[in-house]
Amino acid sequence: MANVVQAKNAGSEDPILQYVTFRLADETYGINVMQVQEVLRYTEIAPVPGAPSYVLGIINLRGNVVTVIDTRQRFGLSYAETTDSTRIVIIEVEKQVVGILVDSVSEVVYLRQSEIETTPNVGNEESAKFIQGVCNKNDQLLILVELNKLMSDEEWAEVAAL
Amino acid sequence: MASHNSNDFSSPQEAIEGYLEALLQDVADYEEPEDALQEELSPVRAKEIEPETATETVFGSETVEEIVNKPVVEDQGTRVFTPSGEEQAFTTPVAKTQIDTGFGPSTEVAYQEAPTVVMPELQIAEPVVETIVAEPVVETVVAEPESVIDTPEPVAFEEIDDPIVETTVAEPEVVTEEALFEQVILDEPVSDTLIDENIETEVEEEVKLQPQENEGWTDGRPNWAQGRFECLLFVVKGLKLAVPLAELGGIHKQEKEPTPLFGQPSWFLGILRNNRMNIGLVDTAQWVMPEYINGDHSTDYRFAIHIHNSEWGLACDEVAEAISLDPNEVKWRTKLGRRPWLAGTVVDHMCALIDVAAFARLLDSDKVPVDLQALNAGGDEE
Repeated sequence: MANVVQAKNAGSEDPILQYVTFRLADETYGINVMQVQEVLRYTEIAPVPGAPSYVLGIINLRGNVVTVIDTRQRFGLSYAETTDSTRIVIIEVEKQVVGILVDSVSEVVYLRQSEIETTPNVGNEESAKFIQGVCNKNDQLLILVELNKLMSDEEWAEVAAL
Repeated sequence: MASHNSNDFSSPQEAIEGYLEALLQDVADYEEPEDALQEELSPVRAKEIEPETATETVFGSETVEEIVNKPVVEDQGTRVFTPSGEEQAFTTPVAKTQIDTGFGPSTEVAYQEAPTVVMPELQIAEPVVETIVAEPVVETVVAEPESVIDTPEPVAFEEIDDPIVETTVAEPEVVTEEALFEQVILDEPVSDTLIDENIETEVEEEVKLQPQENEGWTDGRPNWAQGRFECLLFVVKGLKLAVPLAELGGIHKQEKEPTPLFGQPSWFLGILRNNRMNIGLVDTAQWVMPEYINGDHSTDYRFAIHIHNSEWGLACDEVAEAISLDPNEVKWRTKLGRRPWLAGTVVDHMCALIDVAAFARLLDSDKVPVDLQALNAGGDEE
């Protein structure tokens, strides 16, 4: 996998992986650190007329336009007001740079591949496919999110066209 | 089934009776007329109101706090069940002054001879499960006409012609085509001469499509219930349920809220981390009585009943006592229907017996329903 920490665990069959963790609706989620470019404080997001419902709008990131995804809506969670802890995590997925809005960003954790456990998949909602697995870290269950499946190919194309 | 307001458990006895009646009606459809069932139920209910006569044996001094979080599988010796942390003693089922007339006096004698409920070592349960897996279901079904029950498809029924029609005329009590089909097959196993090659091929294909039905059952009852067996009673929203100890993986106390996963059905409460393992916690109430439950009912369950050899757990409010049952005390289900998780009902204890293995298989399958209330409503309309 792309986020194997070679220096720490060269040649091992149980590679160590790094995940950036963030909070959303009182739960902790993890995303592949290799897909994270940077973490921004909340800044005003300019809505885009006619954009899909999962797009909050766009921000200006050092002269580049970055689309911000409504993560709560994508995960089927209820709306929440922004706070001082709210962050925009800039990620690169499917050769696109987008931002995801989260309640807060916590830390970078190291996980062994063997620590990742599968989850029961009984939902037929699209969002259920985002879950890569779970991992128990510091007596807390970390839900690992597969960013590549955050949107379908059509939706990624739609975002790229904004 | 009459609809009730959700969470209306002010009179739990009424709720339980109503629920069990519905379950029994399903189970008894193919066994006896409903009137006969009502007659049978009446004295039992009367008995339920009477205080139980005595407690024979108190199990051990170990508390539930101690056995909670300890997988039952690990128990090697005689298993001891003790009450919840509220100083209830786990007891054997109270000795009955009168056993249900249908079971005869011999049952009572046998019961008294074994006053102490010795919990089975779960290692014993392992071979049972392995036997189930090892059993070539498809081959058995094709070879034995009894297994045609597993595929109660109207098409197959129509294509099995003359001899069955004759039997239909001889059986006026049959009310539905499906019931007729099953009863005919049960009473008169279809011999090879009755099935032409086309039908045989069709049955084989259907069996391949539905290999899971009645898996792990022999002679109309689960493999673990071929002889006397032990069950653990637990309570969900005032309803008493039972699980066989042979298929019980453990009892876990919910120290903290389960971790919810987005995109999952409402009956999936989340992941419960316990004893270094993850358990998918199921809102049992939504499964067993969806008609009484709405979306905002409380899910602050205290315990999780872990199903043996699975990653699923059934949430419950209270863990009660362990009881020993004779297979004849259970009114076994005759078909999977809309409640494949139901093994049968125990009238003496006014509780439903859960077929936890079938439940786990259903949860693991692709066919697991998402909206149980819609499923239930759809089933009622049928």
